[in-house]
Amino acid sequence: MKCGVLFSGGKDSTYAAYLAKKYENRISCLISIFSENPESYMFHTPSILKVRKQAEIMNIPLIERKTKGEKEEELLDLKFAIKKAKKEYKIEAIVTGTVESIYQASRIQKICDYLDLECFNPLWQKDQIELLKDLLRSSYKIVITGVFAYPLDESWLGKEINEEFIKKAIILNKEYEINPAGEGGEFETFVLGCPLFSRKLKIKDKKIQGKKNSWKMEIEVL
Amino acid sequence: MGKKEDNIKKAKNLMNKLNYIRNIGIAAHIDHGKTTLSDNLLAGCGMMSEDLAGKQLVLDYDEQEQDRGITINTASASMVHEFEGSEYLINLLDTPGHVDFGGDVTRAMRAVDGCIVLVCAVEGAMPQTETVIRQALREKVKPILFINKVDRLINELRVTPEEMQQRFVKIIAKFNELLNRVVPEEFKGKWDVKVEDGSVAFGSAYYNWATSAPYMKKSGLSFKDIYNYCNNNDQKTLAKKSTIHEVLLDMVIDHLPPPIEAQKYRIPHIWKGDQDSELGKNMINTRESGPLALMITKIIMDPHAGEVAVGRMYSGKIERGQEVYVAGMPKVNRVQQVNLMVGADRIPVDYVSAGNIVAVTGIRDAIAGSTVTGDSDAEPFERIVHVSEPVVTVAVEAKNMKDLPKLIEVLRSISKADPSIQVDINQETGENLISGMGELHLEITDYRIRNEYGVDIVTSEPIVVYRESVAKKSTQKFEGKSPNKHNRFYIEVEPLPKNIVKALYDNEIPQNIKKHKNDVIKKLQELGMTKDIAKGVFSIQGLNIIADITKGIQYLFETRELIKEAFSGVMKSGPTANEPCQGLLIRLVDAKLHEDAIHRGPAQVIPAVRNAIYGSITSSDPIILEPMQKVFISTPQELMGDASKELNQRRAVVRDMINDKDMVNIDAKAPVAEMFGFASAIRSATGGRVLWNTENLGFEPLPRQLQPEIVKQVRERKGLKPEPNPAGYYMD
Repeated sequence: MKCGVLFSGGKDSTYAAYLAKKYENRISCLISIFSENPESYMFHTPSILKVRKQAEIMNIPLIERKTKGEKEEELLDLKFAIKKAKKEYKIEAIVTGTVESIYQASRIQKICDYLDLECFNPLWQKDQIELLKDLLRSSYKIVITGVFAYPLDESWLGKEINEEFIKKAIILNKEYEINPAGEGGEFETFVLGCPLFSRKLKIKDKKIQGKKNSWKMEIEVL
Repeated sequence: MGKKEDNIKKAKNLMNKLNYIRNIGIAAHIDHGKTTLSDNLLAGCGMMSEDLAGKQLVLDYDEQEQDRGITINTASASMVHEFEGSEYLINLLDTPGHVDFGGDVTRAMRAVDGCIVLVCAVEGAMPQTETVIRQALREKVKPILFINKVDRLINELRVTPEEMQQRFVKIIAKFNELLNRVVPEEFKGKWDVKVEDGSVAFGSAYYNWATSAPYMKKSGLSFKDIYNYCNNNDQKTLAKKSTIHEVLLDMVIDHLPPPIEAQKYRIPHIWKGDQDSELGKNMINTRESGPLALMITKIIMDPHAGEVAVGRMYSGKIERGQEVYVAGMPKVNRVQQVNLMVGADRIPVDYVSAGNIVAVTGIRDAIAGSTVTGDSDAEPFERIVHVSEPVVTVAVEAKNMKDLPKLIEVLRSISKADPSIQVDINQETGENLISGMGELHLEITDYRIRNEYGVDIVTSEPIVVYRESVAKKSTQKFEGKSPNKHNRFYIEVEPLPKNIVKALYDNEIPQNIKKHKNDVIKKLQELGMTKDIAKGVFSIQGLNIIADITKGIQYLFETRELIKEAFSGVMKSGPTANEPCQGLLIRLVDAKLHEDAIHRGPAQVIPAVRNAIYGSITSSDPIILEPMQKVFISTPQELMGDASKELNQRRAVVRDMINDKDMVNIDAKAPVAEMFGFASAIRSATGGRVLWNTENLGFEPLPRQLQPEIVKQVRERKGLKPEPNPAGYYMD
């Protein structure tokens, strides 16, 4: 089946794309929405450039769309982009990396229903610790680019997801109910390497901003 | 020896004759003679040698208490006394008199139904006399009066019989005046003490004699006779003819209520559960056959038995091997030993039943103030009111690093035995803080750690504990966002009216709001809170209240526990100096929440609410409150200048000054922070000829000009940057 993947450049959407391919689907395009509002309810907001880089080394076309990121209205922009993917690449299904967010999943499902597309959520309801372990087993190289939960702070930025990270995530889950894979929006990730990429990406430059328990790291990649 | 054993046997037999039991306390201003009296009562009942009584201070069984000559711990003792042909069991709890140990007094009051208040005939009613009367009446404990040290009046001050009588009249009038200020409505006029009916006695605990109007009739000894015995230096004969324990225990039996009578009106007052429930009915009627209800008032550390819990049985019986629950703790505790207490001795018995005082081992979860029942869901007793709260802190470190684990254990067990000691253990920094009621309270705790527990420690200079509050109402709501920005809470803060703060302080508002919702709303409205706010109150933390005045916000109810958690965290550590907050009314006026539960967990909601509360406090003129002390000084005329000079250097305000012959009594108020070292300063300034004492008065605003410097000091001590964050810091 020809699929379009809703793609943010983070671990979940990249892994969903990988699983879709593994189940013998064809990934026809990636769809990325870039929000001007850093507090969007739907979309993570990495810079356009680095997602383009990822698309490039996966050798998959990328459909881009900007949104003001206002609650509910931003869905129109998403709908428009998916419509375009259907028209240009004849996709039959949408793939998302949603794991637990009913908010996201239900809204995407609605759009797919309207456009007569299937909607795949290969990670849906997956155990979050298992998900992290699977990513490691599949040789993903993932870096933390944002934290948005108490008691996380800027010291977490730039950390890689590895065994040690998983141990800490388990403790944070016990003490603060932080979702170990960040499914409650606790952290944002960027994938530097995975089986879909033809090569690994390197961080060239980074810029950190934020305060208290909300921190972001903008990176430039090579 | 034989008499003691005989008494133990009698005590066991009397335990379930509820009309023949009295549970009493003895309370007084420091040095008015409590422990001497307790010992003489015990001796008279054959519980210790009569010659030692009055000299040995058996109830002062801490080595340290004997050194200092003051009583620190409340010990208890049971004794048997015959009155009008019947034998009675009297359970006596001794209470400390020093103001620093106020927590112990209030806890002891919970366990008794009546109380002998001692007043020194020479000094008259003192500030703490008023305090103990207040403490007794707050627990609906009936007080009677013993005027002590009458021998000194005659032999030292050489007063005439007429002057002596005038003094008594004055003391009794003062006592009744203090009593009537706070007596429960139902007992107004009924609890006044009177010479005629024998609810007043006078005598000398040290010389082991006393008398009262009824006893004078009985013994034929007139007032004049007594005066002459004293005057002729023959108090020994007097002690034989009019022995103190006979007189006072007669008075106790005649005027203080048996448990079966007292529990009828005390239970509805100290236990807020359903009075018509099985437990309620059984407690009101003091039934041995009812379910177990035991209120722990004291934990004693015994080198052999470990922690011994002393408390009052209100219903049922407690026996060895029984499985019990401590309210608020999940696990079953198994009773090991059940004892009656006689001075420092514990006498093992098979069981102890409702209406008595018991000492139990094996209830490991209990702390002073715990409720013990046989049912894990039973409603606990009302929190015991601490008339005083910790105001002074020292940092404690183990001298040798290897002792650190032991020190932590010791600190935990100290705070269990004395809940007026607050211990903060910081495993990360290794800095442990002990907070208590005053300098002396902490010095004694320090001594105990070194000598009783054998841990060598280094303590810092004492520092005072501050409180944070606001001076004015927020002008606008403050928005606090969650780290993911998808949850927002809008908060306003204002100073809680004084009368509501006082009601909280006096424990007049039930802490468990969920269970007593209607009571809380009614009470707050009576105190002047508007209905909308009162209905929204959903948590009380210390002397602070949070109310939800929003309407129909989706998902808000689901996050309420998290809001409470954030509120309680902030109230324990405010934004200005990380000191506890006091007197705040926090209003939640609006909220926006993410519809997905996963996006509004504790890691989002707690920081969002915290930001909102911190921000609103910071933008509503935050102030610091400091602990104040009443300083009462009695000085000879010629030293008044030196004494006032000492006060003047300490930001003290003199409230009253009364000439009493060649003495001047100064009633002043001063910040606790300025009173450190006052003891040695005034001693050296006046050659030790000045009597003085202090009493905690609660917190008052720090003068504005001192605030920035104090805030800076506190913050730097805590390793924070010197300046508090501006409101903008909490915005996003």
